[in-house]
Amino acid sequence: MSLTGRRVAVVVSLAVACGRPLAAQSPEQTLSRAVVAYQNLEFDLAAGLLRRVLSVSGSDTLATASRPRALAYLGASEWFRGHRDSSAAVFRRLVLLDPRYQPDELVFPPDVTNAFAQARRDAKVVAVRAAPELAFQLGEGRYSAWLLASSSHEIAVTLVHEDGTLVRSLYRGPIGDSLEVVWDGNDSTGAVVRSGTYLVRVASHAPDGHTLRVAQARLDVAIVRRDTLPVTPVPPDSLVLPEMGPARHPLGSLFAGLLGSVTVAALPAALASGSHPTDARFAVAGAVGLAGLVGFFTHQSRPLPQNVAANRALRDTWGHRAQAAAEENARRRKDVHVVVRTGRVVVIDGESL
Amino acid sequence: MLGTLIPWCLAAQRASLQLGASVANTHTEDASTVGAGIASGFTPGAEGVLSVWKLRLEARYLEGHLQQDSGSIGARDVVEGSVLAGVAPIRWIAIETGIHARSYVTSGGTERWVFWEAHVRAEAPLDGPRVRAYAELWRVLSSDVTGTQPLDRGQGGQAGIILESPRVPFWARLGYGVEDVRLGGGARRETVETMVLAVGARVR
Repeated sequence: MSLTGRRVAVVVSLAVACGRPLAAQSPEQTLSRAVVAYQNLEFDLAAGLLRRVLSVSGSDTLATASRPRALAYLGASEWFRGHRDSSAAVFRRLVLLDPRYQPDELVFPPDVTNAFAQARRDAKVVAVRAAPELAFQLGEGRYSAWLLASSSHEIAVTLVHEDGTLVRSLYRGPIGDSLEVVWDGNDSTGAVVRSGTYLVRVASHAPDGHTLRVAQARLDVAIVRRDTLPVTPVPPDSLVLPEMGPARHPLGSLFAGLLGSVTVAALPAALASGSHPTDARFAVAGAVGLAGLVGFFTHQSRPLPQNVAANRALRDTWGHRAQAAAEENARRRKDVHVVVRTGRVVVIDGESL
Repeated sequence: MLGTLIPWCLAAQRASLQLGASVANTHTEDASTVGAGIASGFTPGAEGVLSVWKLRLEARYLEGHLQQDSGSIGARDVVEGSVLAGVAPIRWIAIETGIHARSYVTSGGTERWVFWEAHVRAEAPLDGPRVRAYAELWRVLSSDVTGTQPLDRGQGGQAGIILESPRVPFWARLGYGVEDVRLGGGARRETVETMVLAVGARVR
């Protein structure tokens, strides 16, 4: 083998030997190598490594928290390579990923930071920050989410059902740096929404009104209601006492009184005919007849005061219990809790809308 | 013995005792071959009834002064008493027999009338047990009258109304009675008419 051939063989062997360790490195290690290359002003190498690590998907993909840093170094590398358009595109991609990201001014020169700031101003996008899970009582609490903007622009925040049906318009207007959007759990008609999946959409608008992009977060809403008390049953008939006494035999009293009255009046004629009785017997006869007449009317069915009072107490007790149960149920119907679980935020570019 | 028996029966709650005072307006019509007349007056008295199971013992006493109203019959004092014993086979019916004595005291002497009588008494409620109508009929079985005049016929009856209070152990009775006795083959006839008002207390 000639000298040239031997040199080529060494270079190829070294390249193969160097290639094997590169394929086994983690994305974080690759990122670190890219940063070292950037610091050594090896912008081509740094850009190559960063593009490779950012393009990997699946299990070997770069961690989400490291991607903004990788994009920042890539944008700076492209800037120093003289690829302004590529740099701007990378910075725009970074802004879309994290609208609140700020490149470290101690690491990147002003030219790079200014380029990033311009990309940030041009890329109008909003990030949504909300608690992963929030529960509140309907009518008293609210669901809130913070909107963090990359720059001032017009936005429209809506709550839509997962099928796209508009539920409520939450905000329409400008956003400066940040904005808190709240939702009370009701739809546009004021009624509480049903349990299900919703999307909170933040649409960023250009000055001419067209939609630049939409950031939407998935909301899993669960409406929790307290069980109401069962209806208080009416007291059974077996507990209700008769309120009227049995009617005795009124005609018997009337007949006995009449017979007694006649007997008194007829005694002298029957037992002492021919005598001269006084009229005193008629007074007694009248008293007996009157007593029979009174008995006729009083023998009618009479109310039983004790039973009437007992039944009244029974009905009052049932009424109080039913009223208390109705009031408790009214309180429970108002005691509605809304549990909202916020999912991942997805940014949809305007061109895709 | 009665003093021991009565409290025992009452304590056993199988008996009742009724005691009361009465006042009667007595109207006597006396006719005989000698003469006729009418006398009347108020005769206060007392009465009592002891009931033990279905047995019944009744006693009455009254006395007063009768003024002459008309005729030849003069004023007289009257003392009357009766003791009857019987049974009440059912609640509202009683059958009794006993002695009934009446004495007329005049300036000319004392005339006694003693009868052995059989009584039947019935009661009917008018307004529950609180107000009852009663009727009593009796027949003179034998008599012993001053002058040894034989008895032709003797009968009587009384009817009226009884009131009892359910809350307090008091009772009241208003009654009208008439008794007609004929002696000596029609030689003498006496008719006594009374309207009585009695009040009293009962112990069960």
